[in-house]
Amino acid sequence: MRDGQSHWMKRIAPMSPFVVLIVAAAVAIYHIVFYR
Amino acid sequence: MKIAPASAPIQPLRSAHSATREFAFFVVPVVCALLVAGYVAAQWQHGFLPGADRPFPLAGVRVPNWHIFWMGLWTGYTMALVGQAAGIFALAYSMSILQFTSPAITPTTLVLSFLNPIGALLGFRRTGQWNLAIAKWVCIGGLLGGMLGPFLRLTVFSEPRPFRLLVGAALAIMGVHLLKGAFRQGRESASAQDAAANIETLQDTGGRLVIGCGGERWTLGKSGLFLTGAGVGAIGSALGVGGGFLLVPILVTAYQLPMYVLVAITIPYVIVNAAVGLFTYAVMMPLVAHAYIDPEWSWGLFAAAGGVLGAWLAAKAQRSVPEHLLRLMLGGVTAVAGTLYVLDFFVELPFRI
Repeated sequence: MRDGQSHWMKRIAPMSPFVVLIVAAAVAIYHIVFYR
Repeated sequence: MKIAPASAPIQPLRSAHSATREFAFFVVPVVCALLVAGYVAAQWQHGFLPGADRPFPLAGVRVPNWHIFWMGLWTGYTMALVGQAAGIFALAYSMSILQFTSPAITPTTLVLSFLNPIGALLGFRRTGQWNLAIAKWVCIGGLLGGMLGPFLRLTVFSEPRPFRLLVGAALAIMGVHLLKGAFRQGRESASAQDAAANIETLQDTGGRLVIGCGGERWTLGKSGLFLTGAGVGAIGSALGVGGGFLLVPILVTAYQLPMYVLVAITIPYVIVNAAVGLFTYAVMMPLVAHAYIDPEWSWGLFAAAGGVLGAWLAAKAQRSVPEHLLRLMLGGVTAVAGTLYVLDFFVELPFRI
């Protein structure tokens, strides 16, 4: 738990980039459907 | 009753506390300041706040401002996890998803490229990954290249198709670099941990520079560093990115520098190159060539606000993230996107990219 890595951060950090990429893809599709 | 040892168990609490303090006293004020600056810039540049209801005049697209913030956040987060800047990814996303295809995309992305790595620069300086002697010559080259790039954008890459070809080539290079890094990552991360030492200048005479770090030494030619900085700077500022995507593979190939040392060059370089490029687009080009490619300032500042937050979060999460898998994913996506952009120049694709 160095550099401010708390317990919850250690648990969610490994999956976070993949969750972020999935949300990014969903937001991109939302934009294409509603704004283009 | 047991008494805990004085140092070890208290350390995590203290570190977590310092991260919270850093978030409250550095990240939140910077992000808020950039959001306010974006709002003020929109009022100053257009007289209203563009977004979901009213299109951005220079971009010619309607997009909610939270989406621009989100773009900066997710590109800043994922790319910082693999040691890259957000600019090139944000550029491709802005062009293909948000359909920001006017020439203003270049200086607008430069706003993000300029502001995104500033937090990282402060962090690396604290850890000793800082050497002005080695960064200086590449940055001087970047000064020249950053001034030439905007004129390349105005002439050679003024049309959308050649510009997209250049973006495609840049994406393909970065994709290959990420994929190569994924296969070499085990060795690199071990050497990075071993090399937790200051980067020192051992010799600085004539045209040669000898630097040392963690028991290793490298000899570099100043003219080579300058020319590399100038060439990469011209391409980077023509695109609207800092140029790290190209500088890193060149320096690794030419000098076999490890990533731990490379950041001492690339982070200040990206900031210098993006700042000069932005200055050239906003001030020099109108004065010298009477040509105007103004940035969409509010767009760039909203994206930068997300980028700063994303890069900070990445710095905190980096140790726990499976970087190998992430590099494979991002490298694959980037390489495929780059290849499609390049193909789009030569043949008509059955879909719009």
